[in-house]
Amino acid sequence: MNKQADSYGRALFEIGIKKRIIEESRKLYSKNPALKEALCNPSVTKEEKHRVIDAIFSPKIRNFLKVLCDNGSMDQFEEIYRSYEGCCLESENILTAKLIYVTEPQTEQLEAMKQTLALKYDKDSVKLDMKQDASLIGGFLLRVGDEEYDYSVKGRLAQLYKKLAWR
Amino acid sequence: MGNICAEEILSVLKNEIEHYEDKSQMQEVGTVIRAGDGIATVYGLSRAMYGELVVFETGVEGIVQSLEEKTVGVVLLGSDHGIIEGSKVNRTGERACVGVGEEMIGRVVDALGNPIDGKGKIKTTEKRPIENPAPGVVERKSVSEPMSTGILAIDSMFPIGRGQRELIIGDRQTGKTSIAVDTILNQKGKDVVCIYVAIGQKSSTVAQIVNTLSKHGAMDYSIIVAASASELAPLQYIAPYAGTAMAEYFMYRGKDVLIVYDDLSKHAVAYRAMSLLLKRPPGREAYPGDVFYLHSRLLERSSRLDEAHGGGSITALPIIETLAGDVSAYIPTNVISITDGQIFLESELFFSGIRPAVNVGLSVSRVGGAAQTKAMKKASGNLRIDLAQYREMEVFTQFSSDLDASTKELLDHGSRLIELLKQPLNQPMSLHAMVISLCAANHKLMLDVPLKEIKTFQRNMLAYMEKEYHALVQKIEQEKILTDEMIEEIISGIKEFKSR
Repeated sequence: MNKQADSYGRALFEIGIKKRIIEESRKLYSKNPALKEALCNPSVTKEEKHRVIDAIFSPKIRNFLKVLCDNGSMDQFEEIYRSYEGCCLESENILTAKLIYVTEPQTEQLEAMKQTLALKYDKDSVKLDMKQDASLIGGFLLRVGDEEYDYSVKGRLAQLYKKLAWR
Repeated sequence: MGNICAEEILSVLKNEIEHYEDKSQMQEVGTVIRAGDGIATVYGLSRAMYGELVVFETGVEGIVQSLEEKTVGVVLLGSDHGIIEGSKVNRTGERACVGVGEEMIGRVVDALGNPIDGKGKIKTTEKRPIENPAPGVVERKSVSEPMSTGILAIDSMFPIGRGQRELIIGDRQTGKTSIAVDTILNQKGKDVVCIYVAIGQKSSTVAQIVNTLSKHGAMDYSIIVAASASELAPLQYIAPYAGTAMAEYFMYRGKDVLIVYDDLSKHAVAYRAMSLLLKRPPGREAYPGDVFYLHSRLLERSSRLDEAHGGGSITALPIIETLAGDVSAYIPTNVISITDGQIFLESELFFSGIRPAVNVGLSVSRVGGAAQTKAMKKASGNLRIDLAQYREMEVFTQFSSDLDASTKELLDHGSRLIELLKQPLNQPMSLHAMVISLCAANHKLMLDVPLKEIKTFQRNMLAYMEKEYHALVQKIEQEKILTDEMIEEIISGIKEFKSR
């Protein structure tokens, strides 16, 4: 979300480290709170952090992590990863969309939805982020970037309310 | 009765719901990532325009005030209660607007045009963006018609014309607002729409002004736009623009409008608060770099249109409060340079009993004689020069014994002029009253009247003239001229009154 994490993410994508290595490192980092604490803690010296990185992470990503530690940006690693993921999807021409639903749609419905989206936004394929939310009452809500398509009962009720309550 | 109403309402509602077509439109949304101090940073909304109105989940509206790479800065126009990290924000695709129209007249509204006088909803049919470009060079006409304030000191020496911007400047408690209110009161029956914009004022002061105006029947042609001190800085910031948008509606329909901004120093302070929170770089006195543009674009919208564009006008009376009489501070100098003149009020004069406390030396109207009626121009003559000479000689009043006759006369004349220019609150003078009083003073007909009795003399003399010389009074009011014969008539009338 912030500019700094974005630049790091783009840089990480551009240096061309294998995706598998980056994903593994991120898993390692997020699953070990002690490691996170050690690398983010400003009272731990740089040399010690470097030693930890050398001992744990794969050689390809070590330099990147060391730079992050030296600049005190290690706590942004999750965001950097998200931005990196975005770059990857963009390069593969994949669209990410968020689908919020009440009852899970069937596979055919999902496929149809993906196809229309791919056509509309001129992308090769679509990756759907699924999330259930009972507060919608019925229907679904599709969010692509800044745009939102509201087909939920909740949204329609809100619209009706607006129409009726308008002076 | 109640039953029928409920049934009717039910049937209307049912009908509405049955015929409700649901259109699921695409909406552009963003998410709040930071909120505080009336400012929200919103991620997304990549297509939002500068100055666009956005709506938060809670129903509160906001205006886009800064566009960054991935985020936009939004100033809230309502309570920030319920706005949390992750709240949704919707675009409206519209710039901030206010309702305008005849329906607004007589009402007290907030900066967004919503009524706050408890008299029910205002059903305006038209809306106008709060920010509008000022009329261009081609559409304008030079100021030539007077907008009389009803205050003798101002109308005679610093006349204000329709379409002029005259600054009222002075310390606190020097009667700045009173001059503005008096001017509004004087517009009664003259087909002028008056708009009073209160920015950062105490609500009690605003209530008092509403009372004064309604008591004198001035609310019938006035609108009050109030963004009091307790309201959010963004509301105080947009209040004068909203007021001007309402004024423009009337101006483009050929009407004359008087708008009072009370006061612009508080407006600058509100804008400073907003700018600092939006992280715009601070400049002198921590005001942002565009604080001059803030006021210049507002005051440029006051103008007089030519006949081809309706011939309407907006006359602006901005008010600025100074600290310890310092007119050379940052905001006062800015506004002085934008306006077409200023009326400078001094606390020293105010406390020595000269009210309105107009400083004759420092006040000026750059439009000048063009905005005076012929009668007033002739009657006021060399009033300013007489007063200047008096002020120069004033120190000698203390050695009154050793003065030659001419100096003594000059001093007596000057002190009587000053006495004559005093005027109580909420009592605007009509044109003939001003002209006759000035004639009496110019022809030294008051030199034998004791200083303390000048005001009584003036009152009785005017009453006598109105009664005995009705035709003359009517002629001044209607034709607005003053010929030499008329002056002779006035002089003989006053002499008659004195000999009684």
